[in-house]
Amino acid sequence: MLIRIIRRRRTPSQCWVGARSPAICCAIILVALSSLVSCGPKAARTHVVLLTEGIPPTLDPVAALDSRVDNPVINLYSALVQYAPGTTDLRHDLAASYEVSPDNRRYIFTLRDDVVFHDRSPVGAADVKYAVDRMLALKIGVWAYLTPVSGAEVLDTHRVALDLFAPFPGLLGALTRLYIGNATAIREHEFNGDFGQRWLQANDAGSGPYRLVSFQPGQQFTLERFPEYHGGWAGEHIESAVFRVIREEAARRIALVNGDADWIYLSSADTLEALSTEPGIQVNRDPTLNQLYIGMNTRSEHLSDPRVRRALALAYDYEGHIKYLMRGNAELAYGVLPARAECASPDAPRSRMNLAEAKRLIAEVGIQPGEVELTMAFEGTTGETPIFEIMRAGAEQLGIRVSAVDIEWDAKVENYALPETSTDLGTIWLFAPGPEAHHYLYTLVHSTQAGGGGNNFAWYQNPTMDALLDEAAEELDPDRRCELYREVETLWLADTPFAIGVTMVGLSAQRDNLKGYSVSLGHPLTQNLYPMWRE
Amino acid sequence: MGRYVARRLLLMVPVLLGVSLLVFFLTNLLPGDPARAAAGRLATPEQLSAVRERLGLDRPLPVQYGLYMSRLVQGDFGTSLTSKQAVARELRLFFPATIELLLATMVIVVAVGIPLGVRTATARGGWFDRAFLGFSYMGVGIPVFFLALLLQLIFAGWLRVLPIAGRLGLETVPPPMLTGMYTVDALFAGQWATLVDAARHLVLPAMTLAVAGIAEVGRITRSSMLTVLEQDYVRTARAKGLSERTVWLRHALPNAMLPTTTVIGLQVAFLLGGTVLIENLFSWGGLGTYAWTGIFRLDIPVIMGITLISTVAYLFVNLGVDLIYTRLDPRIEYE
Repeated sequence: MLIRIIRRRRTPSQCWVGARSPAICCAIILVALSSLVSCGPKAARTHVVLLTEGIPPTLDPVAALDSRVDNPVINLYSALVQYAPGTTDLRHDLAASYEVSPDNRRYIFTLRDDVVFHDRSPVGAADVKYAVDRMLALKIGVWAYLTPVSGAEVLDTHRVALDLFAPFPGLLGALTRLYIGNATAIREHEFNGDFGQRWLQANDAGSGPYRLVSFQPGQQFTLERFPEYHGGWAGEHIESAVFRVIREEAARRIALVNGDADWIYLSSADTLEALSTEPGIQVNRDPTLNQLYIGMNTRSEHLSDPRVRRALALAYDYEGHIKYLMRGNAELAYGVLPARAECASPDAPRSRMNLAEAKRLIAEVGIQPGEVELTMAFEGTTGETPIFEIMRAGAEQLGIRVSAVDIEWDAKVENYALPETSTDLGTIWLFAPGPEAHHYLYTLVHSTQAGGGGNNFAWYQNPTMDALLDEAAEELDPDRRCELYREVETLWLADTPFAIGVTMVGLSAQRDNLKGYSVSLGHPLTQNLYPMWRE
Repeated sequence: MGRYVARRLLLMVPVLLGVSLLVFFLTNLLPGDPARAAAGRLATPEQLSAVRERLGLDRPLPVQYGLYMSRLVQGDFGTSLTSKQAVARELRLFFPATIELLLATMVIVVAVGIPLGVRTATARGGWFDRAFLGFSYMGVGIPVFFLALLLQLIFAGWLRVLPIAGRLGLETVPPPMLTGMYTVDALFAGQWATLVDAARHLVLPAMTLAVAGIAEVGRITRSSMLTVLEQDYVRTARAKGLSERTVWLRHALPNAMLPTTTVIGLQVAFLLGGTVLIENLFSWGGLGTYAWTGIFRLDIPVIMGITLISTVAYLFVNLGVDLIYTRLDPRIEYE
C-alpha cells in the first residue's frame, strides 16, 4: 500500500477524485503552496515590527486618553511639554519656554520657531489655540484631564496663553496629552462641524518624530521617520516601524521567537516566564502608574452600607493576585495611590486580605449566608476574568454570591452612565497621564465624576470629599497638597467606595538587538519609537 | 426560470424589511446610549441632547426606523457613531476581506471535501474510509480557536512556512483597489509577488475555517454517494461496461450532489456570521473585526449595516443554491 501511494503521488493528474489518497494530494498542494514562501516578498527588516493587542479606533489626538490611541499619536504628534522618555521629568517640546501669571491662572507659552508639521508648514500659536478650542468644543478624550482649562489666546505667531478657571498644579503633566495638530489641514477637512474627527481618524496632522505611511483599520499602521523633526536625529534611531494588531498572545509569542517581530505586548506572566529562557529574547518588566480599582456601587441596595463595602475589600486576596496570578509582576498600592504617584507614602495603609475582620463586619450588618447576590462587571477579553474569580472566591467566604458581567470597556462605561444600569461591582484600571494624585483621586471619587461616562463607578458622593479634592486641585504648595490628599485617603478608607487592587507591572518582550525601549509612566502601554534603535 | 428569479428577488424585500425591523428594535433594547457613544463618554448633558437631536435619536423609534430606511434605499447606511465614517464606505473596506476569506475557505471545502466524500464512499469500510470518519468527528468537534492556534504553531511557529496573521506581509503594499480582495486585485494589476503574498496569508485562516466544512461536506457526499451507488441506473452503467471512474463521476456524483450543495450553502451562511473569532485570531481586518468593534461600542448604524449586508449575501447564496439544483437535476423546475 505504501509503495502504491508513493507511486501515485508522482503523478499530478491523479490528484483528483479517483486518486487513492486525496488527503495526500492535498498535503502536496499545501507543501507546494508553502514552498512559495521563498517567492513571496520577504520583509527587508529595515524597520521594526511591534505587535500590540489593542486596535486604535482612531488616530485623532484628542482621543489620546485611550492608550490604544496614545500609542500612535505619541509618535505622530508633539505637545507643548512632554515627559523625557522613561521618566516623569517634564521637558519642553513645542514650547521653548513658559511663564505663569501671579494668580496661577494664566500660562504663557513661547513656541520654538523651528518646528514644522509633516506637510512642512510651520507650527504656530494659532495651532495651539485650535487644539485647545477643539478639545473644549468636543469635550471628549483628553479634555477629562484638562477640565480646568477655560480657553487659549494667541498673543503673537509664537506666543499663546492658556487660561484656567482656577489654579491647577497638574496642568503641565496633563498638557503632555494635548497634542498639537495642524489647524489649517484639520479645518480643511472639517465635516458638519466635526472639527476634523472624521478625517483624523485615519490621517496624520502632526509634527512628531514619525509620520503616518499607512493605516489599515483593524490590522496595522506604518510610520516612518520625519526628517525635519525638531528634536533632530543625532545618534541612532529607527527608520520606520509597523504596529500590527494581533489579539492572541500565543500568536504574538510565535512571531517574536521566529524573528518576525521585534517587540510584543504581553498580558500573561506565564508567557513572560516562558520567553525569558528563549535565546535572543529580552523580557521587560516596567513599573507603571496603572492602578486597578474595584468600584463598589454605593447606590446599590446591599452596598449602601460602608461596612459591607469594607468587608468585600478585605475579602479580596491581594497577595494571591500578585503571587499566583501575576507571578510577582504587580505591586501593592501605597494607600489609595500607586507607589510612584505624587503623595504616595510607604507608610500609608496597604490593602491586605483579612477574612476574620470581613466576617465580623458582615455579621455586624446581619447579612445571612446566601442572602446577598451581587453583580460584577469586568473585561474578560483583556484578562480580567481572574480578578472576578478572586473577588467571587473572597465574597463566597462571606456568604455573598457574585455573578459575572463580562463586558467590554466601552459598554461598561455606557452601563455606568446611569445608576440603574450600573453593576454592584466593577473593575477599572486607571491610566493617568502623570503621577499627580489629582488624576487618581479626583477622577474616582469626586461626585462630578459619577455617571455620564466618568470614572466614579462607585457613584460615591460626599461633600466633604468633594471639598477636599477641590481644594487640593488648586493647592500649589506640594506639601499642603499631600496633606489634603492624606485626608482624602482617610475618608476613602473609611467609606471604601473602591477596593484598591494592585499596580500593574508592564510586561513585554523584544529581540535583544532592539535598544532604547523605555516606558513613560505618563503614557502607559505606548511604544515611543524615538529613543529606540536596532543594534 | 427568469420569472422565478425575479420573484425570489422581490421576496427578498420583505425579508430584508423584517430583518432590519427586528435588528433595529432589538439593538435599541440593549443597555447603553447611542448618543453617548457618538458624543464621547465625557460629553455634557447639553452636548448629549444636541447629538441626540442631530442624529434623530430624540424621536420615537418608529420614526427613527423610517428615517433610517429612507436613507438606506438611497444607499446611505448612515455614519458610524464612533469612527464618524460613512458605514457604506467602511463596509466597502471590510466586506471584501471577509468575502475573500470565505471564498478561499469554500474552495478548500469543495476541492477537498467532495473528493474525500467520493473516495470514501467508493472504498467503504477500508482504512481510508475509517480514517476519514475519524477526521470528520475531529473536524466537527474541534474548537475553532484551538485549531487556529495549533495551525499557527505548526505552520508559522515550527515549520515557518506560512505567515502567522494579517492579510499581507509587512512590507507589501496593497494592490490598487478594484474589488477589495487582495488576491483578485493583485491578479488584475499583474502584481504577482503581492498575489503570492496575499495567497499565503489566506492559507491558515482559510484552512482553519475549512476543516469543519470539509468534514461536513465530505460526510454528506459520502452518504449521498453510498445511496446513489445502490441505484439501478448505476448498476446499468456498470453493466454497459463503463469504467468505475466514469460511473462515479458522470453518473453517480451529479445525483449525489443535491444534499452536498445544500450543506455547502449552509456552510457559506454559517461562515458569513462565523468568521468573527477567526478574523480576530488572524488579524484579518474583515467584517468580523468590524462587527466586533461595532457591537461592543453599541454602534447601531454599524450593527445594522453588517446585519443587512450579511442578510443580503445569505439570501443570494440561498438563491444560488436553488438555481444550482436545477443544473444538477434537470427534473427540478421552478415555476
